[in-house]
Amino acid sequence: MLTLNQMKDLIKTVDQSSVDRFKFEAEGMKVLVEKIAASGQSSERIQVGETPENQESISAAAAVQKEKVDKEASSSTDKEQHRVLAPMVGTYYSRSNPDAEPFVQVGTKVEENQVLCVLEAMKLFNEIHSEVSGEIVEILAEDGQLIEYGQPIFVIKNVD
Amino acid sequence: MSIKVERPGLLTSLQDLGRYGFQKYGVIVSGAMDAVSLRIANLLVGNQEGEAALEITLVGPSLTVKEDLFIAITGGDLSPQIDGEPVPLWRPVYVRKGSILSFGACRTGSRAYVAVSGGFAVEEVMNSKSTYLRGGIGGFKGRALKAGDIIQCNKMPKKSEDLFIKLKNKGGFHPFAAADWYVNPASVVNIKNKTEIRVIRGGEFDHFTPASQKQFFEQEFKITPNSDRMGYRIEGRALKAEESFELISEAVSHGTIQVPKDGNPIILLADRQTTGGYPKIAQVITADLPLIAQLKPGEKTRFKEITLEEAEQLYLEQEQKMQQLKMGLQLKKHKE
Repeated sequence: MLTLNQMKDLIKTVDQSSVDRFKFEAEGMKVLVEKIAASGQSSERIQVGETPENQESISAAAAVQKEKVDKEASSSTDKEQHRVLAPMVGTYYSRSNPDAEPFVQVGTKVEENQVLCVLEAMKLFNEIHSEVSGEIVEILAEDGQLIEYGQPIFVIKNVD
Repeated sequence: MSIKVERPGLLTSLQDLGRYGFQKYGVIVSGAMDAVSLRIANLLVGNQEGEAALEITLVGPSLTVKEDLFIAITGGDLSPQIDGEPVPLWRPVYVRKGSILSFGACRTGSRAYVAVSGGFAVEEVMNSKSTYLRGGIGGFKGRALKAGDIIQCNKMPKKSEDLFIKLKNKGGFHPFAAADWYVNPASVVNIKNKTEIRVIRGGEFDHFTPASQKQFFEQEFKITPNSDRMGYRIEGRALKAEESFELISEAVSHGTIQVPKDGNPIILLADRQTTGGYPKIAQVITADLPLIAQLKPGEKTRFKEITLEEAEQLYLEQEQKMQQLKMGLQLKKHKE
């Protein structure tokens, strides 16, 4: 977890740099610092997302992040790559139980409707199915991570 | 709607959460051995959690479904299949008219529960649909199921219809269709430590020799084949009481561990007698009773001592998780 001072430093550094957007993820923590050039004046937004173990979030920022996620989703109409978005809020699990093999890994070839992962909410485990067939090129979630509605979980490459 | 029993399996009977209020007259409680699995099975198909369901033991039955049915199978994995195809557990399942639900190898646990949406149409006897096998009352004609039995089912509740229709459409001409979501029993019951049953000290714990007291928590006990719904006889090195003494019989409960003269404990379970006179060395905590119910003869277990306060806490946590699950299912049904 970053301290307040570290966070201030981070914002300052980004502000003074030519970087527009800075995203940092480590140990279940996500920090996103972004410059938004609205009406010529630059301002920063900082967002912190946490895994449920040490939950703490900036609610206003979370709402902003969700909007962004939705935007990202709608812009991912790239033919080559398909993003699988979370249809609900829930905790991500890559396997049906701790001893089982993960449903998919990077490199796994998947068919349409194949189970990719489960999202747990209110003690119910919801299977997330692939909408397309292809190859998993990226997994954007970690076991136990709380996934927001609309958050991308997988990137699947169209192989044909 | 009805189900026809082609083969009854080892011991298949109707059980709900038990017949309470009559122990003072000597009428035992009965009910599901693994109450958590029974409750979840019912909740999955939109029933009240205490509705009667089929309790299936080690070797499952073969049942013909006479009309389209909405069911859930929970508890131990006895390899359920419909028309030969494996059926997932812990999910709502649509079963097509004419299909055969059967069971295969007992992979995990020893008892499975099959709930049908709406419940089975049997009369309550003394406020319960549970079968009291030795007394011959309740359930289906007061006995375990036999080949040729036809059990009627009630109409499914309104709130289950949407999901049922959705699954039916998904199933098409297939013999069944399961939902793409499920309950993980590990999030309600401590399955990870299923061979370490937590107990609190019993009323006569201090009557046992210090060596036996120690031994009770250290050694492994084996479930003997002489175990049933009334109680599990378990054996290890024999436990000794300080001096031979007789108790006046007093009330016993689900999970009471008695030690008869031979020194091998008995864990009293769903069909326990109402009173007992053997010294009680320990009491299994309520939250771990489902674990005991799923142990099979030949398996081993240990006992771990916790305090009464911890036991209460664990029980409250388990019930809280059940509440959460109930709420989750309600939200799910609204969304479908």
